[in-house]
Amino acid sequence: MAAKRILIVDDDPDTVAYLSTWLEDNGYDTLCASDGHMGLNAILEHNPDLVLMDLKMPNQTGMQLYREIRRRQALAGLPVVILTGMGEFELFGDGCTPLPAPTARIDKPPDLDLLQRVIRQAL
Amino acid sequence: MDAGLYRQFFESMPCYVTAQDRDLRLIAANRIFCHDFGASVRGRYCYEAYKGRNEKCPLCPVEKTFADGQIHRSEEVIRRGGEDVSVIVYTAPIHDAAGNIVAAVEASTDITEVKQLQQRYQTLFDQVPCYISVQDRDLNLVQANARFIADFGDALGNPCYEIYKHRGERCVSCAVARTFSDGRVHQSEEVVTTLDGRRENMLVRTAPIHDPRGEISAVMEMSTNITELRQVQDRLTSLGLLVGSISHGIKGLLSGLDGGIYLMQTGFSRDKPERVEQGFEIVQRNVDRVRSLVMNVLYYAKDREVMWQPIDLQELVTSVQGVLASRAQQLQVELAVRCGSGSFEGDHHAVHSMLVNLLENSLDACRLDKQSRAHEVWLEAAVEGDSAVFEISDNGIGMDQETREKAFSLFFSSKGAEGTGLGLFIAHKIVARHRGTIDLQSTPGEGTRFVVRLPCAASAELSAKDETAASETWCDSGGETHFDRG
Repeated sequence: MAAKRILIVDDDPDTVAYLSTWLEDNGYDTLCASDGHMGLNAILEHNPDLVLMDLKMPNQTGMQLYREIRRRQALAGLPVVILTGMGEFELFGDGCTPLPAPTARIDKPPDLDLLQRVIRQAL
Repeated sequence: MDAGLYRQFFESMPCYVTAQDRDLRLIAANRIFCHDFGASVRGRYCYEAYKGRNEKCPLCPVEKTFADGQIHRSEEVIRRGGEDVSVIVYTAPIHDAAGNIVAAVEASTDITEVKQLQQRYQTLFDQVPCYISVQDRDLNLVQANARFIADFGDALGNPCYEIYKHRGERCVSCAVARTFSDGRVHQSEEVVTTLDGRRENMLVRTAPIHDPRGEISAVMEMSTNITELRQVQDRLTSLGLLVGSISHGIKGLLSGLDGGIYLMQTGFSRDKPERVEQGFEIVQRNVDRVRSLVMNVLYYAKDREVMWQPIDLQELVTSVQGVLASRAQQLQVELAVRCGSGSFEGDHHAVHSMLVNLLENSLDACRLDKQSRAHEVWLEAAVEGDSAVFEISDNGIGMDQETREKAFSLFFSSKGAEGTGLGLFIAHKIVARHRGTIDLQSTPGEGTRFVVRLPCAASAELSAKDETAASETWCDSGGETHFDRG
């Protein structure tokens, strides 16, 4: 069976190196993108099985990416795990309409056991 | 009533009563007047007897009564026993049988005690540490204390909203109007503008003033300046933002450290030396970032005294390059350094932090630039004349006008993960503490250039006041830098 593919979207290269190495060590294929625009392109081109993304990225592309994923019908079933150092926050679409919640929200630095469980459950 | 009784009334009046002729000479005086001003008053001019003047008073009420035959009232100050005495004066005409005014009677009541009481209350009114004004139903000012007049001007008779709001019409939820309407005390917070253009936050309370019939004839408005309180609140809000910002930054750094350690551990366990090396670099880099974050927070939180010492240019630049080489390599940015010889005096730690902050900014600018080109960051340092000059430039994403204008502002960060908004603010502050200048030039899509000039000579004679003034200026405006014009 082909390995599940996970897209990592984070502008911090150290976080990307960490997560991609850990995921690959656990049998997943990984793709990486350093901002929301590149992330969306990677989703449309490579159809990942799950997106693991940071929210706070330059030029607010993290939030834009999440809105875009939730806006597109074709991506409705795509699991999105948000990994972030932000405190409490709300996710809003245009006009302050709340967006659907992500598959999971995990605080940085990530608890790897929790992240492992979340990913297994989602996939 | 017979003449004797009228005489008794005249003599017994508990106030000064005199009668004057058209020449203002006294023709009669009662007992109490004679007791206080001398018995031989007949024929003396009233202004001489009452006031010790050698000419008539400018607005003599007796003259007015002779002129129009009406009763007149005025407040005067007379001279008694070498002291000034305040009196209320009433004058009235005395007619002969033919109806001609042949004399004027002048009755004067001592109001010295009342005046002193008035003066005491006036002093309290003026000295109270807030603004007090009294408005009529049209919101015109009818009275104001000295503090109000000093800061808003003496504009009695004008509407309050014109005087301290500079509005052409009454405020939407005017507390004074509400008090007139319901007779109750009301409170509100307002922003007003003083004569010299300062905008101040005021906590306003209004209270009704009743006339003898119980009607609300005026409303008193008492305003306390709470501008400093609001500034402290803003500062606390900023601190809250700082804590949030730092918290986010630290979480990112901890992730990086966790990642480096994971790579090292698994590198050892799986016998992958390249992974161990990668992990070690990540750990090293994130430890440096933690150090930088802590130093920035400390600089923000506490004005660190400048530790003046000779700094060798080449040693400084080499050290800075060493801190950032790993990160530059990771980001595939070429870090080019050119340094002349020489030295200057400054705080080594602070100048080191300043350069690291500026270079990190440049590395981030390269990282954020998505154009496919080789990215470079240059650091050039040299002693030119009496200044140590540092140029930090990059061909990264560049800054638009808004970003340039806010670049040195607290908490403004165009970066995502590691932007705490402190780096450039602190760099700016350090330059200021060294009495230097920092120029910023940037073009979106092309790159950015910082030029820092620090005086070579020690500023050991800087007074504490100078340093405090410099730091206070930075905290308030961050605006002493020379921003590029495009």
